[in-house]
Amino acid sequence: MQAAFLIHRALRGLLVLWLVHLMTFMLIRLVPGDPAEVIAGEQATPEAVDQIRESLGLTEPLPVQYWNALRGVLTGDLGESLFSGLAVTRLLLDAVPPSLSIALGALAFAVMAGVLLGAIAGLTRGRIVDRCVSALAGLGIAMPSFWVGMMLVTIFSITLNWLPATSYAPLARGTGEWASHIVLPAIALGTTVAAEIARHTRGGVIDVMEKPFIRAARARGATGAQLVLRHVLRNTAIPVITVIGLSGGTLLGGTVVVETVFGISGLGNLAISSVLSRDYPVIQGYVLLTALIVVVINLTVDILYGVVNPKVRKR
Amino acid sequence: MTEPTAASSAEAGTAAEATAAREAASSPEATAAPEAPDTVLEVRDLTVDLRGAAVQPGLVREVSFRVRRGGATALIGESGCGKTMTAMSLLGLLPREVRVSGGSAVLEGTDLLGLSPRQLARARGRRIGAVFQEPMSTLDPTMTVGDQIGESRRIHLRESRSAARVRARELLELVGIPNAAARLRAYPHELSGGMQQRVGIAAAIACDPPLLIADEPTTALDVTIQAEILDLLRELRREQDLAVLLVTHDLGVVADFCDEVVVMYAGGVAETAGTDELFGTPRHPYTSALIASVPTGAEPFSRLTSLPGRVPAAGSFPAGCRFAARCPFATDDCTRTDVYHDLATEPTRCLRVVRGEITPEAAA
Repeated sequence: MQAAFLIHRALRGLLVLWLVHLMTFMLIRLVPGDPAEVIAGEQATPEAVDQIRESLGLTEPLPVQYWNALRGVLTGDLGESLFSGLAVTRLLLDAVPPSLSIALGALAFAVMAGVLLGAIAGLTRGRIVDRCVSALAGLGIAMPSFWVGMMLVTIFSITLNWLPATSYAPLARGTGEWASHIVLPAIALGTTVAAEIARHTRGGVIDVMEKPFIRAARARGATGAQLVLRHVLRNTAIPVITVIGLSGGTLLGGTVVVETVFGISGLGNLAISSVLSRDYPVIQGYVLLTALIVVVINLTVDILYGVVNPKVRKR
Repeated sequence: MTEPTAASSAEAGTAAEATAAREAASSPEATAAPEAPDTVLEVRDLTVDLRGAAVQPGLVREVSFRVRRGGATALIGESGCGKTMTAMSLLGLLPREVRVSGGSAVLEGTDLLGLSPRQLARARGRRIGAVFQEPMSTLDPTMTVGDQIGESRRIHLRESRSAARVRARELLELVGIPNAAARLRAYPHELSGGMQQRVGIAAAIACDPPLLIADEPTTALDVTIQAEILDLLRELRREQDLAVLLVTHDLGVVADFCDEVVVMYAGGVAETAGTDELFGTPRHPYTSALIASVPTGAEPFSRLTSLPGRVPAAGSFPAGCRFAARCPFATDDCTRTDVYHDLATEPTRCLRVVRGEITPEAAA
């Protein structure tokens, strides 16, 4: 993979981050009227409004405000929560581990289940196995994650009592403990994405199986696992990776719902509570962090393209 | 079948032999006595049908031919006449809806058509190599050239990756690719079309199979590259004793490269002949029409000769001779007789030529 290509993509990612920051910065300043009054709400005393105006630095001229905000971002200072007075950076960092655990767990589940089921369906095209998998995938896309989560809790926590129904256990309390709290929310969150990956993998496998190079590989004697692993999946990976990359944002957004169902205080909960309490600095920080994660995912996808597709990888 | 002057007594002899071969070939490892000792592949009465259809269209019907060691036999005919299907049935790579329903294809003593799918997979790449039409799409874009050439050696000879790579390098040199060591690590898209086809050939012959099936190997290439690829195949025939079954619709390639020709029409064999005889004295009206339709360039501004009508679609083949509808010599007898069956031992499936009523070259 050409280094210049990656640097180019990274710079574009930075540009996106800067634009997102600019937009979140402008957001409260473009609100009609005095942003401090809007934030404080209708029943606020003039003193409270002044305090908000002061703490947000709204008394300074706009360019100075922007410069301060930008400098803050670069030094990791995103301001303080209007509600709790805690540093936004701190709040976000505390909320990241549970959400990231769930999102990555969901991604791992979605990729494994989706690729496996999709490949099986594609290879048994038109037969009963394929029909079952396709029906399952349709169901997976149709089922909302909160409902899947509730069903999983009912079955595995309440009826079978195998896994905890709520809360999050940090890694420090042991991998097993951590994993047992992650499994159900991850599956609930990953089901839709798994179904989507399965559909695309199925389509990709069917597509690749028709390609002349598969016939040529079979003419060389490749069969069964040799054919599937060496030729079919490698070529199917290219479109599927795109889908996986696109699902990154879906998974992050989905944590909002799943965290609520499982009573986990992660990024999703933080986002909801800060929106409800008009905690603008926290909302800004959340949006910026989400944008950062999406940019990183896209960059990873670009790197993976180079790994699986030699046409992208140039010497 | 190469003795067109054979009288009826000799005819009976070949028919009996064919039956014997068919019976013997019904057990997978059966050895059928080849007609000539240097025959690598002997195909007899190959029939391909639609799986599970009540009325069989007869996609390929009673096709017989042979390929000699180091020789080249051409399967020619218009698109859709069953030549590729004939070739793919030897490899066991027919579409799912289609199956071989009769006949034998004896490759060095083994009837390919009697093998289980697993046994046939073991023969592919090991005992029969195959190259295809579009070299670019025939090579896996995600795999290096070296790995693709070495693949059959790793599968069949259980060679290690490094051992296969050593052999792959030799093969690249054999097929005339300069700077072989560096090319091993190249991906298909980094090579030109001609180079890609050379790689395809190297991959096909990696395990030294006695037979190479080449399905339109030069059709997608420039004329100059075509000639180079044919030269390479000729060299492999001479030096490796490789036998080639060439599927093509290009009469020029046939004249240049092959020593025997099987002219196919609508799923059946119209005529089988040596290349020189075929072009000199065609024994089927379809053959002479094909030859006549090749632009000669002798007379500028003259109209090109074409054969009116089209090949009937599979499933709507007429009874009797399938060429009758387009044949200027057809009589009522032609549509009444089952030429494919009745004339199975003749070098031509034209009833009127067999009866001595017409000589088709007059039409050309």
